[in-house]
Amino acid sequence: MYARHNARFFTPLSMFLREYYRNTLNLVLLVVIPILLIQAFGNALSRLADLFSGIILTLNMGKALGALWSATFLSGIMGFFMMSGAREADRRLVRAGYHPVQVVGFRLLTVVMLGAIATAVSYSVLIIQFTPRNLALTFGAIYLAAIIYSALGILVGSLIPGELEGSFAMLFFFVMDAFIGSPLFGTTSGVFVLLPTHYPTKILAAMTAQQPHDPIHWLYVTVYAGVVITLASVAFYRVARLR
Amino acid sequence: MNAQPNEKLRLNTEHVAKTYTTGIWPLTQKNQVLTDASLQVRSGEIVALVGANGSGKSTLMMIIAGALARDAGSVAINGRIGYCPQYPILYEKLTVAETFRLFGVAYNMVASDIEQRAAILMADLAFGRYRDYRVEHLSGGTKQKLNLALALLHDPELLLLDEPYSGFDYETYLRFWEVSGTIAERGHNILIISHFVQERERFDHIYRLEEDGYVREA
Repeated sequence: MYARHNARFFTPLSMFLREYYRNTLNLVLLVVIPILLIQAFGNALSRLADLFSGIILTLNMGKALGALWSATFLSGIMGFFMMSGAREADRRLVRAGYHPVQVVGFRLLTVVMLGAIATAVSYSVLIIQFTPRNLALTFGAIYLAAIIYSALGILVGSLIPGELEGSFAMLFFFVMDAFIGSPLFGTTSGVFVLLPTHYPTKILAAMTAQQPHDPIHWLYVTVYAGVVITLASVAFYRVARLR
Repeated sequence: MNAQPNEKLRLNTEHVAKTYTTGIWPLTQKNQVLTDASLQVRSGEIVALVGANGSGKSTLMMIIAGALARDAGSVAINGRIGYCPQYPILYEKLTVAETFRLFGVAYNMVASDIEQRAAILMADLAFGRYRDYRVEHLSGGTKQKLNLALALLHDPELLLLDEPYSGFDYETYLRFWEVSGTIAERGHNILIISHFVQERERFDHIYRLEEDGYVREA
């Protein structure tokens, strides 16, 4: 009995992970994106901020932002392509006997685990460059943002059937978030603070500048993650449920 | 599934209707596919549902399989169903053996039963040598065999097959009918969708889905 329960839990989880690591491009991106965004773009980002708002972004902040972007970008495309590529097969799995909530749960668990890897790679590249104020909180801020993007990827992948259209939607949202929602580029009010990496960026900026941050930001980020995960679950459920 | 089937009826669909709505309001368009689709499958029968392209055969099959909501009518099924979609719906990065394991677990089967059934099905449909191949590396015909084998894995009482042999070579086509015969002999049932029926004698009943959305016995 326990063996059957264990199999019903671990089999889909391990299969979904296999799907990811058997795609060579995923593994290449996992290594290339963090190095590219942190190492090469760090400097460029710090100069770019000057153009946007006149705020001077230090090199370390540029690199920290690169780490945040690489983890969120990787997690977002991971969630999206996992969902859009396997949506019909997941529906078949539901028809075979899994409840839609179970399947979306496995998908979320998979992206949470893969998000941890994406975060760990980005974080490792980052802390080679400099030491932020608190290592654990820095990891936590990047990881929560990665989870939000993973769930966003699942949400978009559930709602938009075409890979091309969905990729554009993800990219558009990512660019909006990275450049308009970031407090480092001068956005501090209005609807733009509702973009997903606004508060993780604030936490990260404080960590990079060796300054304290407002603990309420963690609440915002956690609630944000909860809302996006719920929306993604509902969207998947609507796609996969039996009629 | 609100109608109650009697013991002999494995599947009873009555007055099923379906209209697709496309576009965004106020520019929506309606396309009525099924007007009044009724058909029955009794124990041990092999039944065909034929019709022209776009007549709504796959729509009716998906409604019976629970993959699509109907607008009206009822569907009653007595027993486990296995559904084989028209095109292979599989996880491309998994191997054939992993695919069997994943779907077997979904069907709530134990590991030994999954192994045993998978071995039988791979032998019956002659694709055992691809056991450790990834799905993405299989030919179209072998993917179709796996697609069919997944629908058969849990030994369903009612098998719903949407154009099951479209990618099969002649030898596999004959093997398919051998497997189908064995299924029917055990009192299980098969409902097959096809554009046309070449060998009428293989079927107990043939229903035709007309362009007006009605189902009539052919």
